[in-house]
Parts: sequence; C-alpha cells; structure tokens
Amino acid sequence: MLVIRQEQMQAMIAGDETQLESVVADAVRAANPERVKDYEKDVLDSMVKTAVARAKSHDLSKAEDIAAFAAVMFEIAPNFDEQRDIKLVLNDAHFPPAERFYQLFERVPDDAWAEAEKRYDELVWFPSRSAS
Amino acid sequence: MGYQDQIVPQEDAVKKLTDEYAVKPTPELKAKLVRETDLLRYLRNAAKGVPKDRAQKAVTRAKRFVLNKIVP
Repeated sequence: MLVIRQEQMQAMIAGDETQLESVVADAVRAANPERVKDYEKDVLDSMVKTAVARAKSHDLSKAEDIAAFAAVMFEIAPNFDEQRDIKLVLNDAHFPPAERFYQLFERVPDDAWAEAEKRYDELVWFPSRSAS
Repeated sequence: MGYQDQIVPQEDAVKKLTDEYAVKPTPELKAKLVRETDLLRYLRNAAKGVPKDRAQKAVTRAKRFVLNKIVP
C-alpha cells in the first residue's frame, strides 16, 4: 500500500511560501469568487500574504487549514480573530491549533460571528495605505 | 444602518473615486479606490446572510479546493 506522509502531502500541495500563497489565493477565489473578482493581482497577492501570516500566527501549518482561515478573513473580516468569543477558542491551549480553528463553528455563537463581521477593519488588509 | 442600506452610498463613493482616478491617476487615489472598493465588496458580501453559516461554507470550499490538489 502506498503511504503518503503528511510532509509529502504538504509538499505536493505547496512546496514553498510562494506556492502556498498561490494555492491560498486560488482557494479564496474558489471559496467566494464574487468577493475577490476583478482585484488586481498585486492587491490580492498582498491580501493573501497578510492572511497567510495571520493564519500562521495561530500556529496553523497545513496548507488546507491556512487556506480555510484565509477564506474566513475574506468572508467575514480580516480581523475576525479579534472578536472576544472567537479569540477565546483560538487561544484554548487544551486543543491543537487546527482543531481550535474548526471548533469555532461549534463553540462560537451566531451573534459573536455577526459582531466579528461588524468590526471589519480594512487597515488589516491595507496598513500602508491608511494615511491616504 | 444595515449592510444593505450602506451599499448604494458606497457604490456612489466608489464611482466618484473611479471617475476622479480616471482624470488624475495618482498612487494616493488608487490606494483610496482599492480600499473603498474592498469596503463595497465587504458590504455586498455581508448583506448575503448569516455570517457563521457563510464562514463555514467558505471554510469547506477552501479546504476542499486545496485537498483536491492531491486527490482530484
């Protein structure tokens, strides 16, 4: 039987950071094409870089988990992880990082998600453009 | 004001900026246009319904897309 180790699997998906960002950009487009359609490549690339870094700051390491986290940033808000209930779950050291992320949908109530969306902060996407 | 109500004023703002940028294509105006366009996309998206459900769907689609790269 052919056994593919996790590292080999990740290498097949994205061997380096550039490939990872490219896969995440495509995954974000697949998750919600309307949200990112017609974005210039440099704009979307910069947003995806931000999303990948943010996902990694929560210790997510697999490409599919990073892409899923990025998809939520585009779908809800780039700072969705700052909402109190969401933050509590993401910081719950009783569980591995990826498990915490997927637990958000069981442990965080609807109104907390609504609050996260309401607190949309575009400066997370465009920090250097805040002065203009 | 709900998301739906904010869409039309934001569309107007983006249109105005697009026109301004066509006349005077400065980096500052472009940056502002990018930001305001993103805000418009956010509002249109947010008006679509329950955030938690949408987030969950986005996660499923993104994850499936990535994993399909190994098992098409």
